[in-house]
Amino acid sequence: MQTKVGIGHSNQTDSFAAGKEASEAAISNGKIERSDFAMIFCGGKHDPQEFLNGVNAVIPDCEKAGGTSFGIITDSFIGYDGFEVGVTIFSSDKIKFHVFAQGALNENEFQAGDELGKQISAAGIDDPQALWVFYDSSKNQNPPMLNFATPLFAALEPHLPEGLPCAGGGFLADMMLSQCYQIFNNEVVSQHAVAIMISGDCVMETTILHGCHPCSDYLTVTKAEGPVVFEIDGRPAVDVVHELLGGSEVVDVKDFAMNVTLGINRGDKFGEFQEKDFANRLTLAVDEPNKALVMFEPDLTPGAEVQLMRRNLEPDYFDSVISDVKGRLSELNPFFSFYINCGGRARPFSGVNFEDAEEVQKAVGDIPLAGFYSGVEVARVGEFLQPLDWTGVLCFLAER
Amino acid sequence: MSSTEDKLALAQKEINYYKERLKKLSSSYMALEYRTADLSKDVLQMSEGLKVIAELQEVDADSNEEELFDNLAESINVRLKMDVAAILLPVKEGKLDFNLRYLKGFGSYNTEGVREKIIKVPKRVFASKEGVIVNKEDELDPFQEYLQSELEIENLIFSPIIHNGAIMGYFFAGRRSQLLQKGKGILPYHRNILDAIGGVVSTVQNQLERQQVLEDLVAKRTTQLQKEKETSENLLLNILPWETTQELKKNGSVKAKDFNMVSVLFTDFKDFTRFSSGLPSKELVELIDFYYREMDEITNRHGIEKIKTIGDSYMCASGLPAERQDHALAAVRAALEIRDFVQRTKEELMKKNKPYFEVRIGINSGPVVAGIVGIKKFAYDIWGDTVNVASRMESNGVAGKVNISASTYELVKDYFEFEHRGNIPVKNKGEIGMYFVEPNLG
Repeated sequence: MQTKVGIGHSNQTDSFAAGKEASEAAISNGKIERSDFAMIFCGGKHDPQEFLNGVNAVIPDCEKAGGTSFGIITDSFIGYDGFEVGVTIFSSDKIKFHVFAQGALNENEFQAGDELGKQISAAGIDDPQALWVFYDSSKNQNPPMLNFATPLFAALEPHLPEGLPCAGGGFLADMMLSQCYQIFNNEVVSQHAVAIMISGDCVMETTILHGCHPCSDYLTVTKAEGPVVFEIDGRPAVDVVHELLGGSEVVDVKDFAMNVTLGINRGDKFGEFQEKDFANRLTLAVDEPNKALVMFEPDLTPGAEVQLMRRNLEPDYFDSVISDVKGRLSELNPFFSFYINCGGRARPFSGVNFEDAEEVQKAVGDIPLAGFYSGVEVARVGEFLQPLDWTGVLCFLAER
Repeated sequence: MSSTEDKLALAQKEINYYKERLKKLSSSYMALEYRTADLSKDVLQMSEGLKVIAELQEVDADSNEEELFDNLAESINVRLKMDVAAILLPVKEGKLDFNLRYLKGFGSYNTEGVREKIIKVPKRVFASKEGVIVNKEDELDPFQEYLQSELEIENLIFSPIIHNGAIMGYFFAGRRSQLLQKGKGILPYHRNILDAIGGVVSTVQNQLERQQVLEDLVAKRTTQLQKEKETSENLLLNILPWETTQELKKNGSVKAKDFNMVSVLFTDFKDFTRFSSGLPSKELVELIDFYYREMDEITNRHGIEKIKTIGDSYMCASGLPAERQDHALAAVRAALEIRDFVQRTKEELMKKNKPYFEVRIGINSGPVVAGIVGIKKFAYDIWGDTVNVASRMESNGVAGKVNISASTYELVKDYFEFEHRGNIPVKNKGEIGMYFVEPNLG
């Protein structure tokens, strides 16, 4: 039997009804007769337990993994009002999904990553082909703080088979860093990382859709602590960026947050621009008294060379990048595509005049598409798993 | 300086020049990008507001206010990306206390706690017909602080819904501060959007009110029509038997029907012609009306169908249109009651020295044909020899007596007392046995 995938969504405000409706739609759309595994995501305004109950009303015995998401993407739907839910159901004899989860992320991301890696390694899965990892982006504390993906994935990576295709995303309930939830084994939890290992007769191809280009010289981070970049090229970081942006008369320093993006080129320093070689880091906030930038991740350490990135204002890069990946799968049977997209790239927040997920829908074509809007996206840049900001990570699963 | 050094210096100068140019271009580009981003976000939010308005314009004419406001509050919450939205309506018309009738809060917002609160709007705020925006970073006046505290949210807008020049209620929408999104919680365009939505609500409200007026009018007209229909039906029932009206309504016509055995009753006032010539016509009509009304009452009470009156003659039939076994019995009983009524009336009027009538009554039993004839002023009528003989019974009777034929006698002989009058010749009918009938006093 060929692998079947059914994708459904709902944006009802009643959580149970939304879960039920999306699950029924997934069964119907995919002509699913036997549900083997489901990925389930619900918007931040939903009650996750009620949502899960709604899903279980349709597919009670099927293993599930998922959680809270800032928004939902499917073949035919894009939404980020907080009430969207998405359900993807797989039915396959050739492919298996193995779910792992590790808690206490807020206490120590590195340790959580290490423990998760150990679980995966101990499971001794035959024929592992790909891995998805989702985690709680918010520490759910006051003042709000992010769980960092950099130590989580740095600790996880050594436990994985070398070069294993991998993608991931941080769950985000809303732009207020409200509590978000993870779902696995019919449990609703917080502060967890959830890994889904895919094994069997398949391959996963992944591409990064930054939509950003470097627009400055290389700048060197000269002073940083954790996610806070204090100095660039020996000067206060805010002053350097302000100068590059034309000064305070042109751009208010308050506008740096969620706009200023610094990119690290892991490829040829002076070679042609390669999107896949860049890891972008977005500014979360500005520490005005210290003239410092607070970044989403703590990986811009002293000595790191970065460039100020500009955003593509036209959606002209999607088709060629996605066509390249589809071309690599032309001898296989791609049966599913999965898009993990930065919540900030949703049109009301992005400031660009197009909906980037719509461009992905068009370019993916008739391959079933599911996805969610995330806080941080994760993909391989160079040889390492790298947390990314302001990025879309698109995966294709194909049967051999 | 050597030539190589000159060239290197020149090259470095050139590099610096282009780097500077690139920096300036990048700055311009980035500044443009940031401004475009801001504008784009604002335009998108405005367009979401327009979607709420578009949804409002699609409101079904059958919608009620409850449904309209409930959907609208949810739409404002979702479209404008708020944490809570509500429509407040006055607790009492003309008062400045408003309750949160349609409150849509999601996530961690204290929806149930806030729902029961009453918001007191100061007179000056109400009179100004202006909205209020509250943001966390702003310096707040007492009413803004009150709203922030009562509505339990740090950024909010409280905007009047103006309907026909007066405040019919308020919109309230609130959101928590966005950590991952720049800008204040509530922006000036939110006021513009809510003002526009308020304008459409007023229009829709007018439509709904007009709809209500129309519905009331239709209901009133329907009641009037119903009354008129009832009047018509009552009128028709005065003319035709009920069964016949149903047949007429159903088929548009009534077929003539044979009845094997009915009893036909005639009355006639003695010396009516002579009597009538001595009375003013108005008094005469009033007098006849007085008698006929009572006769109607009596026949109705006995289930006897009034057929018609011809001058001073009253004609009715028992056993039609619904057939009944005791038709003759009913006819005789009715006849005796009529006779007694006329007699009593005579005595009363005599005492007052007023004019009075005496009545002859005749009954005959036998077959008749019944039906409707004509298209104008049509009437239910009966035909047949039985009718003619009944008329003869009356004309051959005596005032103050009920004269029945032998055929009727055979049907009621066990129930009354009789005076057999013998066989009496009747014009064109030969001799017919006749009986005066009286109640059985034993």
